Amino acid sequence: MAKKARPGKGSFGGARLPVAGAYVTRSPRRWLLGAGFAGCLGALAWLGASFALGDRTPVSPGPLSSSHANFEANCGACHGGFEAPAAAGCLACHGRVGEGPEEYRYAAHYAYRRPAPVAAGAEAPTATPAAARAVGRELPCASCHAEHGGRRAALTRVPDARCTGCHAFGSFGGGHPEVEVIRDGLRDDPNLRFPHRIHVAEVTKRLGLGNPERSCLQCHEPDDRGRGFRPLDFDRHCDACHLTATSATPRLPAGDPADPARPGVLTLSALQREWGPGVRWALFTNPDEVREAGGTVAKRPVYHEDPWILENLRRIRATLYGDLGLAALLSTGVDEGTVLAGGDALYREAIATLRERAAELRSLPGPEVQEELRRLEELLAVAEERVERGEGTASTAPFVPGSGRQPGYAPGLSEERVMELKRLALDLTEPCRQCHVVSDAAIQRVQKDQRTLIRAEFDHRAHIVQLPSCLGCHGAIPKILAGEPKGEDDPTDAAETHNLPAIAVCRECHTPAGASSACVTCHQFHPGRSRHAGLVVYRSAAGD
Amino acid sequence: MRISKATLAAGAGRWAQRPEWLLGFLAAAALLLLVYALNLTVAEPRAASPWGLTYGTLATLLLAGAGSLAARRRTFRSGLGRTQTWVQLHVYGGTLFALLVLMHAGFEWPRSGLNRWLMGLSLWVAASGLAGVAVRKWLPRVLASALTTEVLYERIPELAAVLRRRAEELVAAAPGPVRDLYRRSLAPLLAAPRFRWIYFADVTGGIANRLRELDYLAGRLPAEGRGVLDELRSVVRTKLELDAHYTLQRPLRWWLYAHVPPSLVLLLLVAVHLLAVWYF
Repeated sequence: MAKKARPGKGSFGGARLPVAGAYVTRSPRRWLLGAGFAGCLGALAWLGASFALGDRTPVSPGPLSSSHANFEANCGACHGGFEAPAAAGCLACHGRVGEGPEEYRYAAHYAYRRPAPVAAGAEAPTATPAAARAVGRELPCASCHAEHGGRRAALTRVPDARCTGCHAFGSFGGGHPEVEVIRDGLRDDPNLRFPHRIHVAEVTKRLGLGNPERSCLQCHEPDDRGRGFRPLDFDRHCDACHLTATSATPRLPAGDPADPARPGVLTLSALQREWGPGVRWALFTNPDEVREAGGTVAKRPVYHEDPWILENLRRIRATLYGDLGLAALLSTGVDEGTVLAGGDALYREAIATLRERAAELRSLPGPEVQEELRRLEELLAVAEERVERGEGTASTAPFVPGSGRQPGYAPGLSEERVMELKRLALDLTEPCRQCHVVSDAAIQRVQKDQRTLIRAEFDHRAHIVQLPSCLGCHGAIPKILAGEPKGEDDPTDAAETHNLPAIAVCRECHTPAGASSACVTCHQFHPGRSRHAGLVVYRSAAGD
Repeated sequence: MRISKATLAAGAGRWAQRPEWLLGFLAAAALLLLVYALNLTVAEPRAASPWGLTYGTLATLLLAGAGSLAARRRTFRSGLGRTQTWVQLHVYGGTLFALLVLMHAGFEWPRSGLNRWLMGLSLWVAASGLAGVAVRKWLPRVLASALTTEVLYERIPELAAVLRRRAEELVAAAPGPVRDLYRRSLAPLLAAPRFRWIYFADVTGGIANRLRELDYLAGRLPAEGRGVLDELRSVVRTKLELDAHYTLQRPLRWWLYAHVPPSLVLLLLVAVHLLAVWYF
């Protein structure tokens, strides 16, 4: 406070105001600091009261997403003291359901994105230099799926920057490479002979369809969610025209069970006499269907997945390769080049075959047989559990004939005998070869899922509701249909002919200002079953 | 067109006492924004990302640097550089702190309680600090150029009382119309120091407007009555200037209340924030 001026010290200003009688000091600032400390006390009281009431939201960077809202008050569910949230916290729940922890690792990401088959699951991540670098630096989930973004935050909307850190593509509009199958002119490997021209013409004629798109949809049936297509199915898509009551094998030399090296097929009676697991069907087959005459045998009619043909083919294969290994448990051939890291599906199929054969033995009396069966069931259950857990079952090698203990053809088999056996296999499968590819005495596995994009997801439903027609994007096949016929063996008109548009067509709509062009619109880091891609295709096809 | 250093310094000198600090600040701000633009192209702007943590760390260091002015004033009254240098660091560092806080938060309003308070207080403290700089640069200039009397804020009530007493003495011997005018409109004006918003807009106009009545009366009084009126006019004018000082010096004193207490709370909450980030 200013002291009261003493008179007689002089004056200043026009009004002759008295100068101060003493030094004037400024008001002390105790209130200034007092207000600050009061504010600090208020803030501490607020934080203390929140913690005392169990409310941690004041120190939270933001509300959790709707999926994790129940953990809002329980920071310890994800956070440890003085350390970043670890993946273990997420896997405590996410590892219990769905795909399991392995699906979230880098290894799964590399398996997902690798175009080539993975020979051994454990080695897959180190198969490329990039994968090798990634091993041992698994990122915590939170590095991509950032929480505390609010209830409506979508944790799966991972920013492009998380991908472009490794994939230096820039944006979708610039720098993203052309779809591989278009860029490299790759062809599918469906193992199916299917000229579109003949089929479209026949379907259009039979059903009286005016619009060619409708004939496409007879086979390319949208799945329940409309995202992709249902797997091809003989009964639904082919049975109306193929393998009628007159379909038959040519007459084939009858074989001798006692001399398996002699090229020939087993008659029905021989198979019935041989009775054993896997040939029980022979007891219930109409004998008139397998006709013997003059040392030859023919089957009429021929069914899809005809057991007589498949059994004889398996025997020819066994003679040709000696030890079939696990391939003996599959009805179709497996080529490492065509099965995309889908070892699990093959193991499941093999286990199912063994189960069927074990079931055929259930009727046999004898406690020792029943005991053996019980032990077999236990072993199969363990094997199945290991497959479900994804423990080292990705290798497809044991299912490829000739790649087991005895590589190549069986020892002692002359080149001439090999040719005879292969010719016999081709003759035996003559009705099948109208559509199927037969090689190495095996009907090759058909890629039934009608899926071409390996690394990307495509939702047909999301596009077809906006686009006027399928042919607006898929124009390759219509061009073939409109062109001059080049005969049945036209290489441009086949099941493997790609009918995809170039990426430029996608870019017409997917722009920064238009439809989403984020990486995660089409790509996923984790190959999940719900939106499967790549290796999971095969798992889903067999497992779900 | 090339701009020489001297031209640049002269341009900056119109706005700042130490143009090199202003230019340095502008360069640092431009660099930070450039870094942020680069950040946007290679990674998402998130507080928890390495980029965001770097912004946050720099912001904390600048806050500590800017806050050390108060400590320096109390502890190191001499030495450790000139006070003006510390003030420059306080002003420019504090502004860069606000920019870094915005970058740390990705230029988004935070979603939770503590972070909202942190952001709000950071912006408030920076804004009130800049307002203080503006007030300290503008008001003294206005007071010096428009008023004839210089007076300490703390003496205004005392001097206003002196003027009131002197006016009452003058009016006692004044003609009837002057006494009427005093009773009607001058007595309330001289009663105590008055805060008037008009001085923020126009100091001289605000004073002249109030003196107009006295000037009007002076034109109608006989010559012998004008001497008293002129003295009364001088007293009223001085009182009006005291009022202008009272009005315009008040923000110079009170803006600190808008700046310092929130700054202390901000320092506390930043400490809590650092602890929470470290813990979680």
